[in-house]
Amino acid sequence: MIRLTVNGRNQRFEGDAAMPLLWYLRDELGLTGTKYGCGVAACGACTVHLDGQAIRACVTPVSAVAGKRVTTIEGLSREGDHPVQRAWREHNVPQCGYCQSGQIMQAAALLAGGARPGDGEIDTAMAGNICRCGTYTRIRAAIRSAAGGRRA
Amino acid sequence: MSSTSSPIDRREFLKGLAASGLVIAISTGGCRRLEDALRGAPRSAGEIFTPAAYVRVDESGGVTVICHRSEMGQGIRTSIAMLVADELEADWSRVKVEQAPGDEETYGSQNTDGSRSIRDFYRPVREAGALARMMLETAAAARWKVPVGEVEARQHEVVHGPTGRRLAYGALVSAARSLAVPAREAIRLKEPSQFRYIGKEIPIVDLFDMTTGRAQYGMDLRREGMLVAVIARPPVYGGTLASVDSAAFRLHAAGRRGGAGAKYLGRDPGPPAAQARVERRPPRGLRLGEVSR
Repeated sequence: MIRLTVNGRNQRFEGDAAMPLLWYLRDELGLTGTKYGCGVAACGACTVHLDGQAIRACVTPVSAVAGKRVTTIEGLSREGDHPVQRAWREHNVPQCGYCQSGQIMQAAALLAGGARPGDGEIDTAMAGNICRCGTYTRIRAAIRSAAGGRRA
Repeated sequence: MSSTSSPIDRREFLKGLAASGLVIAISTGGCRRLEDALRGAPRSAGEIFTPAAYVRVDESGGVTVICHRSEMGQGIRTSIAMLVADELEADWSRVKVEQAPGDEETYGSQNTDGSRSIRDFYRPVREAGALARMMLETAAAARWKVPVGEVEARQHEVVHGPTGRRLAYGALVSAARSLAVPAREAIRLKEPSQFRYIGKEIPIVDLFDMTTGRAQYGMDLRREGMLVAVIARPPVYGGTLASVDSAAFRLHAAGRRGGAGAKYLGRDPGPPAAQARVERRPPRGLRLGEVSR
């Protein structure tokens, strides 16, 4: 049996420990905000936080999260008002929205602890999150905005 | 754009009584069976009903626009609602968008491609909103016993110019429902200079849901008793299924919360697109059967 916390709640997992975390979150816990995109960690749609770090849930077996804290888009903030989420709305970022949970989680991990990344750092940190609609320039603007408006 | 290319040249407007609100639909057919369509009543052959859009005003004043096109990031759920709301003189904050189910018989073709949704529905959807507005205006004028030319809809209210009296949309719905739908020739659309929403930048209606993981996509749907299909791919090229371990399925099912359990769908379940809602590798360690080559 594997114990972990998901969005602050203790969970016990008794299934196959090799099951990718993504399917545990979506199919077992019903947390469908985290998306399946590629299944091979090449698109970032499944990004969640593991002890505060952005990881790809589609290639992370449940065994790797034993005793750790998982945060999904549903748990990023209680009212949907995390600074990154607010900035996303200010900049009207999403189009189809499918990748945006992953984008937001990646950006939130980047900015955790008050980091104020420059454009180069933003681009590097976000390079693994693909958006088919091409919302990249708004994503960058929203991250700058969430970081406090500083431009590097 | 040629109007003759529109799929809804022969359209007409229909009014329904469903859900105790005022419902306006546009139709490509000649059938006046809106109530039947909304209630899912069986329709006999030859009575094809294909309304292309709805607007619903309920007795609390809530406006629901039913979007019959697919959202793919082009913002159509927002755009269609803007068209209706503008002509309806609706308060944007009181407009909700409801996604039409996939139902060709009721909604006509919902094929969403070729940048056609606005091209094809810009005018008819506005007309639907304008019709609802005109009926609310007529209802208010009747209530006040004044000529309809003296009243004007403005932001979810009908105002009587000479006296300044006002009636909220919600209070007019029950009276408006009993009115005949005006003829299409009588529809008065706004001039572009009067647009409140059309042509303006408005945040998409799904913005909050899309930034909180609440927006629902096809893959997120859950139905009672629904199974998640898993393709068990052979570990070797050219491998074929030799046997199925039903005990393994039962074991897998036992560990799942609220699941319907695992079921073996077949040796050759057909094209993945037709059979697999989610393509994914089965969890390693789950032996589904034996593979021979």
